[in-house]
Amino acid sequence: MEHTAELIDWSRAQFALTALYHWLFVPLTLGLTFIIAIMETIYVKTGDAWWKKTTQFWMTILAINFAIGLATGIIMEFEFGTNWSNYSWIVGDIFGAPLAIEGLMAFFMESTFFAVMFFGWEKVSKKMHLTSTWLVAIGSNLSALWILVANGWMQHPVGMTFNPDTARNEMHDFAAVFFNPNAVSKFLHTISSGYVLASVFVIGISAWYLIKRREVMFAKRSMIVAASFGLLASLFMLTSGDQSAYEVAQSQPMKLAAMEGLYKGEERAGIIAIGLLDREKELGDEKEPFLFSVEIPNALSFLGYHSLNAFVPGIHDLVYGNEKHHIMSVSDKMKEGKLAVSALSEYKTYKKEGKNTKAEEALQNFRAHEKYMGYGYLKSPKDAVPNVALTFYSFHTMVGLGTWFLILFILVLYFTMINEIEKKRWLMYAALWSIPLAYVAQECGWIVAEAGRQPWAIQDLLPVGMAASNVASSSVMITFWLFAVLFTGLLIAEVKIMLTQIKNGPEAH
Amino acid sequence: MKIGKKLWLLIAIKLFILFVIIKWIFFPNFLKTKFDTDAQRSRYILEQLTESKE
Repeated sequence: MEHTAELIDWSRAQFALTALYHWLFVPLTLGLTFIIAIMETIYVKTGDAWWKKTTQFWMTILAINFAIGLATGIIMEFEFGTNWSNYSWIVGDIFGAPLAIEGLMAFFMESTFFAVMFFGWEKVSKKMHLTSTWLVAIGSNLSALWILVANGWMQHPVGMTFNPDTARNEMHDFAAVFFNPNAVSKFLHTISSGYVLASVFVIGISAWYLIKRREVMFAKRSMIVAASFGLLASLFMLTSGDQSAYEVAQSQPMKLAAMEGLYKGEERAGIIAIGLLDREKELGDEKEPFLFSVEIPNALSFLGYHSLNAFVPGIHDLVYGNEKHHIMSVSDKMKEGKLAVSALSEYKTYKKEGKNTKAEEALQNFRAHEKYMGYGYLKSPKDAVPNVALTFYSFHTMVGLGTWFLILFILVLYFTMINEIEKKRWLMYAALWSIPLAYVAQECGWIVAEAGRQPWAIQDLLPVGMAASNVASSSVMITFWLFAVLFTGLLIAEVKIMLTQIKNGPEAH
Repeated sequence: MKIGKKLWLLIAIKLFILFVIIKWIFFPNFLKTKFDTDAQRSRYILEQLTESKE
């Protein structure tokens, strides 16, 4: 059986589907746990029973999200073993450690204290209960840490050596993997975006109560906590996003070029504030990439390289090379990659024949070229280019919505503080409709991160085509639809149960 | 607690579907079912990595 384009497309589609659905549940947990912990802290400090009721209401919403989202991520691990077995074998030692720590430490910590938090109101002391709530928040964020350490390694592989005898990458520097700048910036950006989503969620639901003119005090108190938390998270997200873009520029310049639809590299490159890509534009032609665009001058140079005058390579420079800026072309990298693959093949043959001296020479040859090994599997230099339109529009949707949420938090906080929020019905409707937009922004972020780094399963080392298992594409297609039905069912259940709880209101507690 | 019972039931059904039906029927570990030892698995992956893809 061969790796057909159909098999790879279905395997990717299935992984994307499960990851995107899984991510509908995660960010709310990441942020809502902290919002609840803050509310409960106010309750313990003030002894005000209203805050207890407020905390318990949001805790029930969290429990619904937690219960329905629970174990949806495990499906991705099933897929690693079945659809992505080459990848799983090759990265096993690197991926295994963070995921095992996540399972053993963070998830069990989160789950154990979740039980105390949810069921222990009258069974443990106030302080013990509050400690459990904070530990749930910390545990859920620690879970994300380990997953993002693993993901950061795929984006920027460090701290490992490829063992040509076992065909596995072996971790030789745990600190390099853990403190991988890509992983650190991705973790901070991801959790802060989760805080923003949870804040928008709490504000949106509270706005619905105000629109309905019920639970007024509860809604206003929730809004103040969520808007304050969301505002701080948004400001932090701005800085973590800046750091994330800087890391992308260093280790994944093609992704940065796709994020901005930048075909020809330039010094003092600007960021496209609003733009419409020309669908007819192709790599190598002289057409302008945009039918219409509004640019912020110098901003991309600053974002990517922290210098207003820096040269930002475009897709054309990265594919065809740029001597002036010492950028190697993809075809040269492909030559290097093919030398690595060929040397690995020779090493394997000589080892089998017991010719150890020749095997050692082949190994040295492999080491000299292994940096570009993945390029050896590409069929054309253009294969190194991700889907530009998907990456560009996802990135700009994410940034645009992130900016709107920052404005929303400022407005909600201001009008709640001066006690005029109920008069601003347009703002309450805007807050309510921002809930689905917050989820759109989350998913766009992951599309940028993952679709923007195609064709790589592991950056520069393993393209997705080589990472997939030789299984029948029809079986992947069947399970794709199976998951689509299962996840949609879970999502409907979540929304239905949540809506019932929201309609019942905090008084039901 | 009504909501609690509902959630526990949902968790039980979901875990049954995930681990008993989906994992068992649709997601066998490809390398574990095809090969008995790690050495065989390594050889297979090396073959995959080095065979000509032209």
